Amino acid sequence: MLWVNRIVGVALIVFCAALWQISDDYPEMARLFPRVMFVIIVFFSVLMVGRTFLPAAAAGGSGEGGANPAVMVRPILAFVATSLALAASSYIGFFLAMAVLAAVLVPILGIRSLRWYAFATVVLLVAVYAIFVVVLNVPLTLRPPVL
Amino acid sequence: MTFRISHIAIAAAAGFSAVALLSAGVEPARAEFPDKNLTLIVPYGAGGGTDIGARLLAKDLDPLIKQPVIVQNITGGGGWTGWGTLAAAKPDGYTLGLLNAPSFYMGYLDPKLGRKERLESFTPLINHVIDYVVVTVPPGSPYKSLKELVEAAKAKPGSISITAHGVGGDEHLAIMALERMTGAKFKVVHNKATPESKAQVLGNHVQVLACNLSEIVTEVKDNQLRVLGVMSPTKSRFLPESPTFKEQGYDLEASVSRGIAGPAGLPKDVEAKLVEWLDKVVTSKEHQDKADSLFLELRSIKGDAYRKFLKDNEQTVKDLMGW
Amino acid sequence: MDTLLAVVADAFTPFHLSMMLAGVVIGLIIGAMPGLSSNLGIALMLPMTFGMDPISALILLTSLYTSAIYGGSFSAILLHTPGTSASAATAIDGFALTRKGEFNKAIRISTFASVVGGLSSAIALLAIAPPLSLLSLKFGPAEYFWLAVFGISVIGTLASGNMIKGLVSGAVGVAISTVGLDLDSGYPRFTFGFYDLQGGIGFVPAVIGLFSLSQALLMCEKPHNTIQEVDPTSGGKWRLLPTWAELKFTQATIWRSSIIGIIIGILPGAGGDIGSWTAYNEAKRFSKNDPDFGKGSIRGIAASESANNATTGGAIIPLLTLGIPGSPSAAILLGALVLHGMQPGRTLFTEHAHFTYTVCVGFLIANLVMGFVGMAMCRYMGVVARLPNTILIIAVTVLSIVGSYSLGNNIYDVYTMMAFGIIGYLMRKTGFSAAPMVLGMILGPLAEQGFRQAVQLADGPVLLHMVANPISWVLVSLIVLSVGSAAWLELSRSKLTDVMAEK
Repeated sequence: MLWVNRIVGVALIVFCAALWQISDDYPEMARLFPRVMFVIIVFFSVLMVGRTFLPAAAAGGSGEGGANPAVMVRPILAFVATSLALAASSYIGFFLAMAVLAAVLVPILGIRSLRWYAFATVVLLVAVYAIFVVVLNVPLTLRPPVL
Repeated sequence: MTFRISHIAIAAAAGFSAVALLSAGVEPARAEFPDKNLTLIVPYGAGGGTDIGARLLAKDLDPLIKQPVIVQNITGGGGWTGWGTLAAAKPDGYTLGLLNAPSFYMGYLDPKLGRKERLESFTPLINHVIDYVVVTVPPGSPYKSLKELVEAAKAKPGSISITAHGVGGDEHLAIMALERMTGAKFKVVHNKATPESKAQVLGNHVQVLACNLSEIVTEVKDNQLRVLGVMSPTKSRFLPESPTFKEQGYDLEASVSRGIAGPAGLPKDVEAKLVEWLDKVVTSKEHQDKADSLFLELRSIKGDAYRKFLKDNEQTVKDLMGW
Repeated sequence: MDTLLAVVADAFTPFHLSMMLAGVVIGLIIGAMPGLSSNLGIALMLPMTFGMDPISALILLTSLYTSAIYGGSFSAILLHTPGTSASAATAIDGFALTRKGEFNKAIRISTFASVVGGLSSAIALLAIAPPLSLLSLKFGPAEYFWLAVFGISVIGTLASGNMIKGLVSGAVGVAISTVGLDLDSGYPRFTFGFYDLQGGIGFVPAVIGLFSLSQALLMCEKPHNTIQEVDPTSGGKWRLLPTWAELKFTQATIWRSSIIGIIIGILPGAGGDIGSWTAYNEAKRFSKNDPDFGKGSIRGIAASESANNATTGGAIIPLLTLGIPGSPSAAILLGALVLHGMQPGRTLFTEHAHFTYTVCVGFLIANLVMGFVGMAMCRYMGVVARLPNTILIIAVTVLSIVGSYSLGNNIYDVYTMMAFGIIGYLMRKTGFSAAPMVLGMILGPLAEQGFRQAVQLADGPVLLHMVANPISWVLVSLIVLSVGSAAWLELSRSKLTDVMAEK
């Protein structure tokens, strides 16, 4: 966690400096408050980074989930798959894209018992169709627009 | 093999284009408009004033055209996500939307915001609702008339605070017009929504409440607010005792108006049909009764007159904001 | 008087009752599933309420809120895995009782305590909110500024985990809230040429990303649950209400914890998890003579469960009157209110009084319904709590996408949700809590607008105007108090972590 705090702290300081520059053109009252917040963020970031050099203070704030960075492979793959499915949905239709996403998640998550998973996915998509498309008139594309 | 396939492909392509041509040729004689449901884009969220008015309209339009009218709230970008979608929609009359003036001018008139759409990106069909700006004070306020307020604001420029809802909004434009006409100067306090402004005025933090008439009829009847002036050409039906600006010697009008528009380039026949139907709804007795319960004044301004109305409004905004 | 009757009659219409029941059942299920919190439940259900009238929508969501917090106790007691973070303290004594084969007793006490906590908070809501709303007119821009600053200072200090990280997260949330057209000058701030950013960063999509999608991603780490199995058949005798002896033993704890819960609920940003830990620690101090405490005492369950449900009504009090959410879940409820065209403040108790009181009465009844439904369903809750993570992952992901899209039929909202989803996941991995960021996004505009309007309205020196009102003095002292106690809290945090480590 030591290095995470340092990296995040420094990144936030750099970010705030860049945004400070950007806000230069804004009217005075419009940029005052964001700039106050940048100063506060930088102040806390310095504190956060500074604390990591104090031997006594614990770096604090352990994260959730597994500590080994290797556990993040599945979530990141799943996120990428979801993003791609979202991008694909404008070509192949929303529901097909979600079904493909569900299928792609099988190897990513290492699902073995397919029967329940497939059943749950179908129930989910039918429920989404019934609630959002039929009742709420949300224009989710049912089939590929090219067809 | 390849030879054959390409032949088939060419034949298929030819067949396809023939069908396409044919169907294009058949187009004018297509089934009566509309033969499927209409979508009415509301650029603001469900439950707001624009949404309530639009749903009222959709409900009454529905039986007339014998097709469902589906209200779709497309929010974001200060309304422009919805208007952008409307401008980009296929001009076939099946996608219509609500146009809010003057809120919608800012997105393209203000060079900082730089939208590419213009008023010309839309086909204005009909105006639906017009809600005039009204200037009110709490009962205990020292200002008994509009004149007293203006004189006080002239005597000590910038000492009197008044509410508005954002730069370029109808109240802000109205205040600027009043300032320009009289030389008075106000301290304009912007809030996101009228309830916030009301609370500030009722709690005596801000002195004058400028908002739309439909939003304060209840308070005025309960004697929580006193009207100094309504910025309408004639007295409002909902507040028949409240004087207009004009009656007090200030020839100013200001309002927020909401109408229906389609994307630019609607077929003439479709446009004419839509205007006719919409006018029937807007001028009908039942529709008026429903609008009355919301203190909304209906004003049907059709076709080219509506286009001119919007263009004139645009010019006013340009002049006042210096864009 | 007839308005009161009308309100009660309206709360009891079949449709509203069925919304209440739906909210309670969905809340119980979501709460019982480890990892799915009340925040996630409200954020995902919010878009589905669009077709409804505001009363039904808010009844559904508030019922879901209280019931999800109660539902978390089932998995805490049955599986030693708190269904929501608000039930973490329950797991200590609850699971110890289950091990002893007395899980029915544990559920009975947790249900009773939850219902009493929820009911007392609903009564507090009905008693405190209307007079407080009158006071709300006294809050001018300067007072709102101090109130928002107070809220931000409380969030940071009370955020679970590391204090500085909580403050960083909150400050970043405030900074995010400045994106979009500036109301006062009409200037587009930090939009980088994107039209979609001109309207600001959507609050509800951001919340769905931070709370829901991030949870789905976190669950991807361990898609196959490994949960301790305890045979639930040897759970002792089922009873709807606690025995007289159990009542006598726990009643003082329940009352004390309910009051603690209500107060913590009212505090901006502090929700069920902080309420339950505080009440648990208090109960521990009062239970020196109870050798079982921490090892299967019903007092431990009663303290934690009555307090966490008591925070729900408490959190709604400042939400309705001042627009300041008392907990992260209340922040999402604020989003729901605004989406249904209701602005918090005095008008909710005048113009929209019927709406407000019906929702509050509905919330009160929902707490009772929750108890009966919970006791009836308790046999099956173990199954619900063990639903495979893989199914939850796909369900939460799809519902996050559909939900954020249906808010405004705007694909940009989905992108916002996705971005905040991955940010939220990385934040949780690195120990930054998402809740302060969410509250910062709500309190930021209040603070900025309050400050700028105060500057405008000040006739003399700005600072004098800012502290002209006694309400400001109170708020400034509260800020000093909360910041001053922050250091003390940070030191004693290690103690609290010890308690949490015991679970």
